[in-house]
Amino acid sequence: MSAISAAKTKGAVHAILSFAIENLQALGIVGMIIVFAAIEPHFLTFSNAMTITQQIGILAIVAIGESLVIFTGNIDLSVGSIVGLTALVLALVMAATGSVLLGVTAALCTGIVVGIFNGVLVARLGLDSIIVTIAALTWGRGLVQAVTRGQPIRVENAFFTYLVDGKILGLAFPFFLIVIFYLAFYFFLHRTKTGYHIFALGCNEQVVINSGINSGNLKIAVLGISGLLAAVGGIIAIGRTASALAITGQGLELDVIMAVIIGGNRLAGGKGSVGKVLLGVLFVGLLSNGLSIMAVPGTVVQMFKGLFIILAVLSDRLAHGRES
Amino acid sequence: MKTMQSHTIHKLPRLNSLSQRRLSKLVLPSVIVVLLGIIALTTPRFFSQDNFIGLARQLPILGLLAIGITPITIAKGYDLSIGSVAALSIMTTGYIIIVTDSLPLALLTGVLTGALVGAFNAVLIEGIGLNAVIVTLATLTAVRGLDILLVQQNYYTFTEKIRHLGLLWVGKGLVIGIPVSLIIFTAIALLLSLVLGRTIFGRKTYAIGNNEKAANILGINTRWHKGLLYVLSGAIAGLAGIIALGRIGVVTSAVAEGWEFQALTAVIIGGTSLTGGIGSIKSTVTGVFIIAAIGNLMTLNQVSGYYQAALTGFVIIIAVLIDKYLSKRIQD
Repeated sequence: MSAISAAKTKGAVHAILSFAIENLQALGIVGMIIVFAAIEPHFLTFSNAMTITQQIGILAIVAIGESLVIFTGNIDLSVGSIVGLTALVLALVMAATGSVLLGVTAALCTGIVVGIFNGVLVARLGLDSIIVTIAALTWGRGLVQAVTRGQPIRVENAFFTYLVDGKILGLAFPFFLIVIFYLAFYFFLHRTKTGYHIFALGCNEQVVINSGINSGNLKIAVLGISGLLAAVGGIIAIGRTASALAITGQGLELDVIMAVIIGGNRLAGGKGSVGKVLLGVLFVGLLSNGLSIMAVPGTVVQMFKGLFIILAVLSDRLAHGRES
Repeated sequence: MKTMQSHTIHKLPRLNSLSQRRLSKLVLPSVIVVLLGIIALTTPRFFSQDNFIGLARQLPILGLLAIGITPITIAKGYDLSIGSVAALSIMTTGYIIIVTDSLPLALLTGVLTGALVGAFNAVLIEGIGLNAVIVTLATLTAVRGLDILLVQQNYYTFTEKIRHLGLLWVGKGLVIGIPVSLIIFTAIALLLSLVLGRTIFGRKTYAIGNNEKAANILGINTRWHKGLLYVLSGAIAGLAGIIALGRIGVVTSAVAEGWEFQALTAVIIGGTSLTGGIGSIKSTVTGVFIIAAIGNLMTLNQVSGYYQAALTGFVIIIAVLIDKYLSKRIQD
């Protein structure tokens, strides 16, 4: 009798443990919300929710592209520099022509060109995505600093401020932006053949190639999309600061990777979902917001972020095991 | 497309033996040296004595960082945290110099600081098995935060010039006309070169880089060994920080930013392969000379420092492309 009940409790403990590991990240987010809400009552208010939505706009959209790259088993460390570069191109074109349409087009084209450039180096020339995108991180930021020389380039236009501050039915505009992008992302990833191939590529590239799928084109496509979405991030960044700065987007790549991994997507590729990406974005957004509400100084936030990235890969290790 | 590619590859002379493989590693540095030589000839000031002394003082810092990450790169690991680590070592060394005024204690602190961060990386990457790129990028971020915090907390004392003569001697001093920092760099490079090329420790490093699983089966404690290499790269980054402090003489929060990528570029250009198992201190030193010469030539030709940073990125791509091309020829 007691042996059976002991086995039962053991089974229950095991079930709880595996549930906890399976949903580690979600539990972490709930825990964090409780802690922040207990410390700071202002945290759980509608106006703060809208502030968070405005703050995570760039992160949420850039994270879509990054997660696609990570699902294929690659990584894109250049997104922060692409955000800076596209914001700069937008500001320069706006200064020269005054046309929003031209500026936005130029920014989007820049993003997709840099992404495809990375993709061609990875897929056609067989280089490691880590080193290719580290190179792009370096040359992209170098170009931005060289052109701006530390001086902001102003962009005065209501269109861009609306992207961040606009309100529809009392809800912040970024809210709708995030909903639209994530719905599209969901259908692409979980309802199309290409989405399926992206996960397959992250699981076993050789099998994908043997199945007659052009894995090279797929890699170029995901890195291209990542560049394109980083450009969207660059456009929103102009809305936030009303100027292109030498530091626009600096360090964003780590925030984005942290969001993707802490949401529970496998760092080595092949496993993940749109919901988990959004969960991770919320986690990083809530963390930044909570720390800023509690008036934690920027340097300490940076240290926290470094530690949380390590926590993120730690949770990845727990949930998905050691990388082979 | 595929068949055409392999066809053209087969037409090229094959490189099979190890000596040919080693020879092929010389191609990239030689091409760049010839190119740089041509540019240098058109830049008269390059061959002046002042310029060479300036180069000799600048070189050891990047040089130490680069030879520090060479062993772990050969063992197929990544250490991208060294820029922040060097900066942290600058803070701690500066602090100890200001508080105790003792040079040996300060030197020890600087190196130990680096080794500690290296050990932190080692535990996470090798002990727990986390992704090396992400962990060291996280350390890069976290330690930079700590650096800025330290500078802010000690604003008045730290922005003071470090007037300690011993420390300035390490950074700027001359012995029989040779910069002290260059002597330190040469000594460490020789020592590491001997360790990698002539000891069992070195052989293990190459074995792990070639095939970690096989090395493990052969009885090498690969995780422990790679962990030690992370500590080593941290400690040498700490030493580079000390020399940087002696050279600059002032502590700022943005110091050593981006040095990790420059060092990595030097390592790759020299011919150390990111796929592991290939490379040497000698080749990294060549890479360091090349990077330093590129920077120096650009400065002499009045190219802005920002464009130099942008160029570093493109140089990385060209270097890995040529490396890839050569190793493909070896495999076919």
